[in-house]
Amino acid sequence: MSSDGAPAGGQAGNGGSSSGSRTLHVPVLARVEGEASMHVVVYDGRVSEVELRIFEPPRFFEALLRGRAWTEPPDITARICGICPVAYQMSSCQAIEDACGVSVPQPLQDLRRLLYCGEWIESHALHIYLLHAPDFLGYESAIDLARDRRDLVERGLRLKKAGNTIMTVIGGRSIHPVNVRVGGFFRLPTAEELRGLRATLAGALADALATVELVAGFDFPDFSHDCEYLSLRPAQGYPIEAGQVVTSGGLVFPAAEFDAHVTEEQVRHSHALHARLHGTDRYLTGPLARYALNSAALSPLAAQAARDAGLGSVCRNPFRSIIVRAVEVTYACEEALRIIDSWAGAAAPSVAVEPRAGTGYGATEAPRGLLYHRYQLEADGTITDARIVPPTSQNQISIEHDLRAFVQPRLGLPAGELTRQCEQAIRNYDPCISCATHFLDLTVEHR
Amino acid sequence: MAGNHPGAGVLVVGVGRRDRGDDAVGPAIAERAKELVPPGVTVMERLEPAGLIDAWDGAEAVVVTDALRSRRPPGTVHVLHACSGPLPVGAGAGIAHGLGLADVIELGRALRRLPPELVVVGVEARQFGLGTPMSPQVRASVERAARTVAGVIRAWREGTA
Repeated sequence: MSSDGAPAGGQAGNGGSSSGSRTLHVPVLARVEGEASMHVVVYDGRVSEVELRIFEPPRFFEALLRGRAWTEPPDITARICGICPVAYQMSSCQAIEDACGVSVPQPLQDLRRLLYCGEWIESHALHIYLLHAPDFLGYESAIDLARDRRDLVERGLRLKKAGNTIMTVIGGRSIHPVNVRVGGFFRLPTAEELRGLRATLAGALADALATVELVAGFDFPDFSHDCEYLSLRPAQGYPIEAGQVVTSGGLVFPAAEFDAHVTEEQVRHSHALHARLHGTDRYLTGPLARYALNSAALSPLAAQAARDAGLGSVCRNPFRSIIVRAVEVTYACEEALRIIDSWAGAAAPSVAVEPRAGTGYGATEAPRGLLYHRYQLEADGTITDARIVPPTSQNQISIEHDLRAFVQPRLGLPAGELTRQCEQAIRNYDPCISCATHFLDLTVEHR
Repeated sequence: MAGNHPGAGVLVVGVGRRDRGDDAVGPAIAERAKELVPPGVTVMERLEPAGLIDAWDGAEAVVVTDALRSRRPPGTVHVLHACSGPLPVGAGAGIAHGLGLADVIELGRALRRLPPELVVVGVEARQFGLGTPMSPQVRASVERAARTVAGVIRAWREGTA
């Protein structure tokens, strides 16, 4: 990256100068969940290409789902991501129930929303404190941060644990919840179990507000983007487990029309499909989009926290997405408390879902963005086709576009510093790259 | 964890994903070890290590089983004592997962939240292909690794660790 080709991150690069190009390997993006690499091509001093190469598991699971029973997607798709299993369960349940013409009663919808709040709290707390805050506070990692600011990391872990506790009580297990089924749940929590969450959530709410205050004080690079935003918007409240799809360009459509508006295409450099919203060159889903399209639906406390943090009704600086995440954690804590306090029981843990031939659609808001599922069933409930569009494949074009704009004025930085800033920039989008097992390499090639 | 069973206070956590090739080895070892360890030992699985600090809260002795890579032959069983110092990831070993097991252990150390005893029993992995089975050499090491886990726990109980 630098003129002398000093490898960033202390790792020897390959490529080499003999070919006239230079490639650096920096296996330090491990704080992005999963596996990926970022490839930057600089031609004659200009950034000509930025490619985020990611491996995406939903394609494998789509194939795995064909021929399986209509009752199986919540369990199978929960295995796609260790960080957001509830999102996969909820989108799949919604889609299967849609195919079978079943609506889940409000109390069960409320429980689903409560479970989902747990996942938002857990996932956002992990991202804010263990992955992203160290960037802003000048630490190499959460470990270094913990040595100096144990209080901050402990707060993050407390929040994460609060989310896990909800997932354990409602979902049966914090990782890969087993209590979710098509039609509802296998078992309802008792009123006592729900009340037992109250003290934890009250503490979490205080921690969430302190988190908003903390992250609002970070220094943010002067950067903004102008992509289209896309999120759900429910009839009431902030979007989590339901709603119509809306865009900043004014589109409003149900999940059933997602395929008519969004197409996926294979690109050379990545296993992931890139999603395109018709009529736009790129769009973004996730906290910034949710917030821009639904900030008026926040609870008064979360809205006040956002205002105090200096967020307007729309935030277009991806680095400030960490503030939006903190506001969303605040909202999720409040929302969880609201559901618990208003819980009046349910007639049954689930409703019967009889299979029928047809196609069903589901869309919910995973912590990192909209997650779309579509299933086609035969009359006996056998799945003949499945389509899963995760947030990261929708965001990939926008991420690459943002990174190109971000890298160009920073090409003069030393290799290590540019790498660090690119990592921070990638983490703005909290890309869920499969909860895989490999390391993420950054390569920069000069031609 | 509480109780008067001989294994009370001891936790075995298998980390990894069963549908990611050799990443399945952590859960597979834990599952087999469950049949070999004394009554009262808690055995659990985790898809990723980020939640380990909470999982081992209150435990007196913990064995984590996981896939790892350190350029040794696939199936090589490693026993790493985490309480005595950082895992040797800087020396060429790379343990699987985004927020790695080594990171989580060091985070626990920085927060003074490591259990009094913590051992990682790792198996050298070869591949993590989605939907692929464990490599034969890795699968063949599960029994040996599980017996290693049981041996570590036995040594703790006998005070010879």
